[in-house]
Amino acid sequence: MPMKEIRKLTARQLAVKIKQREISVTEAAKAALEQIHQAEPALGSFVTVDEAGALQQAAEVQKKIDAGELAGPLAGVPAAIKDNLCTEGLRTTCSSKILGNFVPSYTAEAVRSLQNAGAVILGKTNMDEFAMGSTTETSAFGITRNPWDVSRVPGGSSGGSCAAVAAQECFYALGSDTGGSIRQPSSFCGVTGLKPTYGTVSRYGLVAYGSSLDQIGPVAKDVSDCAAILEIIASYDKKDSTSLHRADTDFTSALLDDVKGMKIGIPTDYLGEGLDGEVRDAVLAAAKVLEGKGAVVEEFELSLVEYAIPAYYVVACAEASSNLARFDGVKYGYRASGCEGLHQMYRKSRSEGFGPEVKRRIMLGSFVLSSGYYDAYYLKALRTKALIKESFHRAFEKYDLLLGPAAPTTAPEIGKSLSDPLKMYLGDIYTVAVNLAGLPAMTLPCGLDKKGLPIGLQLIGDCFQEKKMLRAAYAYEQSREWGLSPVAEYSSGWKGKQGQKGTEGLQKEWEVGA
Amino acid sequence: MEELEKKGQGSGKNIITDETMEYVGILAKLELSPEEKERAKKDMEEMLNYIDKLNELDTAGAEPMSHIFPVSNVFREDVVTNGDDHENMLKNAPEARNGSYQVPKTVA
Repeated sequence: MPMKEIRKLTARQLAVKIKQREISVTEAAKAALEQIHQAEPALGSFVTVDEAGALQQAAEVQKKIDAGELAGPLAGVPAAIKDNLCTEGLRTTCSSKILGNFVPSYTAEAVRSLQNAGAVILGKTNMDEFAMGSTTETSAFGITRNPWDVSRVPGGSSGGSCAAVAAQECFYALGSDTGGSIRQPSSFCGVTGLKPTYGTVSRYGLVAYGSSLDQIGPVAKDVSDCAAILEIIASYDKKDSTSLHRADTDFTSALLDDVKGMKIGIPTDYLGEGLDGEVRDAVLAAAKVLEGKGAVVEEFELSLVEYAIPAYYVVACAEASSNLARFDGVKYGYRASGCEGLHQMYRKSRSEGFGPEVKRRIMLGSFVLSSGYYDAYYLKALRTKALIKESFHRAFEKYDLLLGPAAPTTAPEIGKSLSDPLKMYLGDIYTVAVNLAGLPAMTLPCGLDKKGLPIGLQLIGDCFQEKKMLRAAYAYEQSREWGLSPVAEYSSGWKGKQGQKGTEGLQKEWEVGA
Repeated sequence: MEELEKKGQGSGKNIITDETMEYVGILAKLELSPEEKERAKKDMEEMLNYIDKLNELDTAGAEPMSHIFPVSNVFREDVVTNGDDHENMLKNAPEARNGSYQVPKTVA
């Protein structure tokens, strides 16, 4: 099969062809690597590409498949991993200068699960520094460009993972979602991304940002792939004290084209001011499709939506200020030179090692946790979180599923977002409440706007109800005319300039190696 | 614990003083340049003005919720299960000596 055709396959389709000996694991890895070579100069989805390692893994996985030791639904499929998930022996930077040279001595549990299922890890994808941002522009390793239009951002913080899947540089990827970091870039890049119920996927080996909000999840080409990946990475792990025992992780069993009688609520609060008209129309058209298939769809008022963002930023920044205290230049990562005394070394290493957005959030987090402000800000936010959780609870007494947009607009142009942080934060309005309430949610493409940019549909389930969500998503997908890929444009040559280099001499390693 | 309600400040403007910035810098172990400090001050004021929106909300009846699900500590027997990864871990050390992390002088 020609490499170009291999790349068009979904992860599950590829695994079947590998199992049937139509495609070898090495061929699959080479097909992805070829695309990485072609697309990376324009896109910059990866911080590190492990070409030699990928080919070696491919040979090993092939052997196990041949010996009958590996027969899972994703065995042999090449994947990319967000660069905040630790990978033993492979640089893990969080797209930050402070971890620019960090090589973990262990592998994150979710990545380990994928490897055990026969994944071939191609490399580590670019992200907003420490997952703080909505555009992947705060990376110290340079920006990532949206494969649909290289003058636009891929979204963030899992922008590299989503761009890589959209551009067929890998067959699927892992991302992490603290306030929308899987769902919003999936929306901007026209791919399918899922954030599971909090506690479903072990966070062991995920560099912590907001621990009570962080979840790892899949980014893929379609709903089936997402379900299959989640089935593999969902597991109880004693190394993560918030990880949950779940018996219902056979997510692929939910892939049924049947939504008859399913009750779907559309929060009117998600259709109000600030929502782009074309996004609104596409999302409501998707709701009509589900209605046509027998779902009962109605609009309702969720309430408290405008309080989710302020509560989220207090909680996330507070946790970040505590979590990021570990980066002190002692045991790993960047250390400033010429320091007199330990405390100056801490301060200088951190000040030189963190970028502006990370510092901004650490400062805000330290402030809201400081004595005198703790009650007024931190506890107030936690009380608000309880109320938000309650309002979702009321909604799920009436509905099986909520439906709305993932983001107010399609992908913005590069360089337009960072100057006004508050405005950028407001773009998270439809995603952050889900993290505060610990709910599962996913984004899948539901159309293109007049500029030709993908629009994302968001489905939100009640805790532990991923299956209902996947069933509705799958049913919608069966009726959707999509199959669109930005890669068509690629064959006629990317219009973009060479991938921009990061600050302070940090380089994406594909640039060094190529 | 009595809640420090910042009533009336929702519509008002937060003023962050240089002293507050200094204090937060100490807590956060960050040393900002004068320009960074000005920018951070402005950013924090704007964010806090926005966050004060929460004061519109009556949260008196709500318990602060730190975790969605009840969490309890996970205990295990105090037995070493991982191998000695000493050398591997030290490979990431900015400076190491005699099998230990090396840091600048801490005691004068």
